[in-house]
Amino acid sequence: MGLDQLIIKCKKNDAQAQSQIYKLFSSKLFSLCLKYSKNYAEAQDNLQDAFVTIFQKMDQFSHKGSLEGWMKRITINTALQRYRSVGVFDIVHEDQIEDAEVEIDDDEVSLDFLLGIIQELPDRYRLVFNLYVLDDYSHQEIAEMLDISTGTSKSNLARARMILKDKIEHHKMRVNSQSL
Amino acid sequence: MNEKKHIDRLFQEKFKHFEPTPDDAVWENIQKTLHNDKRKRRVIPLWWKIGGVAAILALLFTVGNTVFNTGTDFGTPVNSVVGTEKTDGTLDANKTDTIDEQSSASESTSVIAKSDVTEDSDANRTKTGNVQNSTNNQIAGENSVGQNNQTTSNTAQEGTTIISNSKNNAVVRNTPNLPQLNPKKEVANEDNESVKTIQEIQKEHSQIAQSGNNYVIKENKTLIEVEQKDVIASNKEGETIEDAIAKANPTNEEEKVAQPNRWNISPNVAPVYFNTLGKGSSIDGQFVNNDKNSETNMSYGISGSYAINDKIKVRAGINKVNLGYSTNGVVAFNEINSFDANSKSNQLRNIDFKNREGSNSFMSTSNIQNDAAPQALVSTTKGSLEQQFGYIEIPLEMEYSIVASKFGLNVIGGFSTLFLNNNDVFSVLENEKLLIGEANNINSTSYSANFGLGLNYNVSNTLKLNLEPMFKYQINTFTNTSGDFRPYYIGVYTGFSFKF
Repeated sequence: MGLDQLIIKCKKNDAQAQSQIYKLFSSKLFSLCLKYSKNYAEAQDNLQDAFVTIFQKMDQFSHKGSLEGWMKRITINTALQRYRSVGVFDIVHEDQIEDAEVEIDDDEVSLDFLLGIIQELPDRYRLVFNLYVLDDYSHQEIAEMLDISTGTSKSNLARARMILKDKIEHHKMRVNSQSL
Repeated sequence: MNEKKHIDRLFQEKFKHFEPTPDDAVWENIQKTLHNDKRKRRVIPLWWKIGGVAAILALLFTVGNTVFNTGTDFGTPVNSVVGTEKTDGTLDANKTDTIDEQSSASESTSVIAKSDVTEDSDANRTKTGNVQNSTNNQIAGENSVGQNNQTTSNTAQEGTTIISNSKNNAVVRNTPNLPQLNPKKEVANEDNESVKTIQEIQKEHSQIAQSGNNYVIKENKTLIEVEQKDVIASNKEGETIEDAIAKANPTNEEEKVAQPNRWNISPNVAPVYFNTLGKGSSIDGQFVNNDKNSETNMSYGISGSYAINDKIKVRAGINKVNLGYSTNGVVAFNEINSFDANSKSNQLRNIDFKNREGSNSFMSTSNIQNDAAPQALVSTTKGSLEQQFGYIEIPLEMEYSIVASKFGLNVIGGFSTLFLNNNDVFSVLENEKLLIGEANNINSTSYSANFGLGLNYNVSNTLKLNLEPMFKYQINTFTNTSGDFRPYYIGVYTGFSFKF
């Protein structure tokens, strides 16, 4: 069954079509959720909420972009919603942007570790970092989405990079000292 | 090898193919949410709800009736054993032949009557031996008990059963099943036919029965091997047999009981308050408008419940309940001086008087006033009539749990079957209470529709304190009432329940 057909059936609230859509996209969207959330449980909650919204709003999907893009936007929005409502977007002063290059061997850090340190980031740093670095949103877009200025977005990104860099280097040192 | 890399790239590359699989629970929750939404949106027609409630009540009613109104019945469970065992079809045609031969070689009919019991129990024994199953001993035991109870009166039917069964080629198996013949049928037989005709039928059929039994005994040794195979085979093939055994076998029920914490036993005691919804009288038409005082009596009993799931419990029990009320504004006058004792104009319609000679007549003061009776009568001390009746109550109810924590809240609904066991009418005059008779319009069996709330407090995992205000609307209580007499009673049942 083609994706278009699935979409039509989903619009009619067909449970089987919904199940297929879920199977097709749950992993991709779950990776989003994991990156945007503080922990695994929260990520699952987000994924659940996102899919419920997706299926409920399926008839609003207008085939202008890809279904995946549309679903991703809903998922990200769901994740952002959580922090918007909690009101964690406090004001952070702009910092000077430092060089965020790290010297690292690919094998030295695992995906789990990277995911872990993303999740450990303060909420807004995490959101901005994800949006800008991993999901290709511009500072302008981010500023609109999070209702902040572009400057704040840039500064948050820089802070996020710094924290991540520190953690990676710290981790590297620990691994090296253990191996010595 | 280390290389300098921008942190963004590091993350981008690592996460490029990151596609973790979420828990299945997520999808289940999504479905649940979508599904529930759908259910909320759907408008359930009113008749559907009402129909559902009616169906549940009807079900409870039926179960209550069958469970509590019929006596012990060996028949049903054993019947199912018959049904399954008949399926064996290996010992075919030659068996029918043998029976024919046996019956033509006529046995003396005089032996038959006495031999029935023993023969059958023999057959039972061979069966149990064959089945090699300890649980079947009990069935066999029941069979022989049943057989003893039934003795000769069902010989005729035994005969016919054998005849019909011989077509199915399962004579050996069927003989132990003979006792399961429905007692009701026997009664019907006894009613319809004189003892002599029964004996005649016995003579006719018992030959065949006898021959069947003989055949069983004679052929047992040779058959045992075949039988064993068959039984083993049928045991394997037939879960139904096991089911039937399980039904007939109380030890299996005990195993169910052993499941933890599904069963509750709750003794309870309650003050009960009897009243009527409309204005009426159960005693006589003249008292319709009289004041009525409700009495508060006691009910006590015990109930057991079984938790079908976390939310729903089914419970049944037995309660002794006393109800009563008094009709005020009644004057009693002695009619010893009356010229004609038979013309008691003021005899009460629904009361059978106990003592005809000393019986008084009763009148409502409201009537007297209407008739402009002498002031003397009206102003004399007014008495009252006190009606008391008691029941053995068999409630069958369902409990639906709304809150289940330390404090619990349940909604309770169901039916009670009420068996009258006490029925008195007293006349009360200046604190002097005199038994005058009993009501003749109270049905010996009546029902009530029960609704209530259950509050409970969990003292421990196994012990709970209960408080259950219940409203019980009585149905079919009186055959003949005056005015709009719709009795109900309210009880606040307190007690504790013990989980096991």
